[in-house]
Amino acid sequence: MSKRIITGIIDADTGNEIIYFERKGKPYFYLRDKDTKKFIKRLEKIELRFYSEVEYDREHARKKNPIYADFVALRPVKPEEFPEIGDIEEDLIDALDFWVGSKFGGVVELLEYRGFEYGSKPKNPIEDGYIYFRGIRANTKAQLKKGDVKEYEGETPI
Amino acid sequence: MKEKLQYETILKIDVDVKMTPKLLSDFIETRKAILTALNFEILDIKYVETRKGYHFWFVVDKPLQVHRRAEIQFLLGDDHNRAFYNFVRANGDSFDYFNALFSKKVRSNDYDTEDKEERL
Repeated sequence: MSKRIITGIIDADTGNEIIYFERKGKPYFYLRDKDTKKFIKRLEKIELRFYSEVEYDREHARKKNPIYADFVALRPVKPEEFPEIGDIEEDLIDALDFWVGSKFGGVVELLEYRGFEYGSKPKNPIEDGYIYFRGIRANTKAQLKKGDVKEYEGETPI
Repeated sequence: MKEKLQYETILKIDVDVKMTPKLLSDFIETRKAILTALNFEILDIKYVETRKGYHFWFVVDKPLQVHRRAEIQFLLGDDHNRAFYNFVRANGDSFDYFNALFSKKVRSNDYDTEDKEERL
């Protein structure tokens, strides 16, 4: 008898549900309407995104220039990878920390973890098999208020 | 820098206030009124409850560029701090990468999970 495991996650891109299940030993992702439970479409992959930011506490903000920095790491996840999603999440955190550390040095020490998104509409502009990184940074509050920010990007093989 | 992600019909709203069913219903109806006043047809509305409030997704009939999306999300009651950063992001090419509604939150040194992850 085939094993059937169903897991549902909210799709951050649409508010619907990403359903993972196995049928006859084969794993699938489907997008399902959250309210009607109707299947919308099969997804060949989803995108896992991990966000991190620099967040000064009030004490540091008074003593230093409170820089603004936002970073994200994005990678595709195929259905067959989903049972290991916990390990994939931890690896993505490590990959983002490494990228930020290699590019911005000590900034990595100031990172405040924020969260994960699971998305049905991939934003990663590079080919499968790579993690894509994106960052925004303003060095002072004045720069931030003027919208004077620098943007960064990078990639690494998974 | 890679190609800018531009046109989208989905507006994403983060509200960090818990509401009664009546207030939630009124909130949705007033969002509809705002979008109608701005000449949009609403194709779909989805929301999920989070630890602090709600995440909303409003699907409208006209694709919008990033800066207008940032503005309309603000008008729909998006968290004001998030709206401020979204305006900054919309000035560059990063809006769509950072206009996030987390499926799961984590904290430094505390790799816990919270919010609305669902296991069916």
